[in-house]
Amino acid sequence: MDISLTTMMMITLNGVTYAGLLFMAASGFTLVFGLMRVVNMAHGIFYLMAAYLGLTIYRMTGNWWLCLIGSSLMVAFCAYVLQFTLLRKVQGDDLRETLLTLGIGFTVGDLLLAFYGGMPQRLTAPTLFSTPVSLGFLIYPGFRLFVLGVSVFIGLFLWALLKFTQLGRIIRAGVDDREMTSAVGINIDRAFTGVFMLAGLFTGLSGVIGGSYIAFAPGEDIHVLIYSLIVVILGGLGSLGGAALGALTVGLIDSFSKTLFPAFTMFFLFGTLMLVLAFRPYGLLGKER
Amino acid sequence: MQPVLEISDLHVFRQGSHILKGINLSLSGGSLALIGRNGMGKTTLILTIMGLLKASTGSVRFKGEELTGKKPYIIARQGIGLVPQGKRVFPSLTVDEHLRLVFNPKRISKADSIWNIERVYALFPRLKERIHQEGNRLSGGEQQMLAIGRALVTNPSLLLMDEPSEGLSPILMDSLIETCHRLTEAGISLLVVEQRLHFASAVSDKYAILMTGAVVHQGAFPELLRDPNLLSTYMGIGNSGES
Repeated sequence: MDISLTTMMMITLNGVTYAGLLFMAASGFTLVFGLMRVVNMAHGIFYLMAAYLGLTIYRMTGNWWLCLIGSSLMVAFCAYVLQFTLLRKVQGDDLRETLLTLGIGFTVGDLLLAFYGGMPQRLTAPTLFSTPVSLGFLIYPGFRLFVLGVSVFIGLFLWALLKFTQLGRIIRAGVDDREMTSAVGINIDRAFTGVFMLAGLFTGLSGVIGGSYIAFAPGEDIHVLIYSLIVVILGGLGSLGGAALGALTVGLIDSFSKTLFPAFTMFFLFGTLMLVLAFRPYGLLGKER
Repeated sequence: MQPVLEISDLHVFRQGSHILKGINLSLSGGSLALIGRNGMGKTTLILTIMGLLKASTGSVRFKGEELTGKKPYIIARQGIGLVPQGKRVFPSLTVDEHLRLVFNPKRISKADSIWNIERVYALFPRLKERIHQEGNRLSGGEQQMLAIGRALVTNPSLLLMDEPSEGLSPILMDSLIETCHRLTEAGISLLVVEQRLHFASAVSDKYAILMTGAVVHQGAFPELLRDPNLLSTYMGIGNSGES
């Protein structure tokens, strides 16, 4: 096969920006599943819900930024309600968490289908982003670079939050030993509800941004969930850097195999996951527990 | 004088079995050692006082206030500190982060002689040398210091210590005894669960023996150590006074 250097760069850049989207979509899942170990199978539906809510807000106002903010806040609120009313009651019980959140995922998914229909939809990003940007060696869509920028920002934000703030210390201590954290005077339940909302906010952001990047339709929630699972497990549960590395790996594999061997994309994706887990059962940067 | 801690007719079940069968215990300052063989319910009692286990009936009063049914973080904020069995320091937090996580000046009412982070470092200079080490990279003795320091920065008036001497070398044990004396001198009451009589009697002057979920004997240490019958009945040891 003969590919030029520019094409190679293009494929790489596509992979990296797609990785950005994946990391963004998985960031909330890293917090909730990777760190807090809450098996939130409704993660994908938060993403899809954000995209559809964004659609409604866009139809009403025509302002993309408003759908980005409004939709994310609404999803964060839904995450709060889910955690506060239901998930808290089954906390620590993996099986019940899984069944409960799967059920919620299916129910909300069907409601969205009834409401919005099954046709693929797409949000329109502001014209600001539709202008291609010249990177010197190639011309590249501005929106994709925006996606990459936002994902880097989210990554740095979460890193700083975990490392330098009191909430970060509470999260890390609570993940290590929830009982002991409570026994030193910390209201760990409240902190974890806060983290759940934050995760909802990021998933909401990624839903609107992702819905403007690629079309979405019912079923996209399962896609997002599976990719988030792969990213978090490949990178290593509880490791933020791992999630970034996992997203980058998946993004590049996806981009290269889709261009070069389109029929083998899934094979390469899951083959890599298998190989990594065979040699590093806790993921690329995961720690043994 | 009102007791610091007063437990009456406390019953606790764990996984269906009746572990604590009507505990009655009172502590009015100073240090009390809770002794007895393995599996008699000592740790269960400590965890129940802290709110980490639920009491089915009975009451636990701290300075007159009922604790049963309260969440652990509320109990901690009322002034009870826990140094748990196995230390349970946080593996992913550094020494400094442990103390900064817990110390909250806004929550402390008394203005004078508060336990802040500097005071903990003054008590345990060793911890200051390990300030940026993660909890799981400390030695057993350092972890014990950190577990005590972490409890102290909540500014407790009662400290619950569960098997504090576990896994410590004789030298470290001596310094732990000295630390305990300094804490009681600073006005903190101690409830110490111990297997080792030598350590327990050095830290406390009073003892309570727990056997199959009830307090079967209470008194002052010098008498216990002189009484071979008591020792063999409750502690399963000869009259050497050592375990």
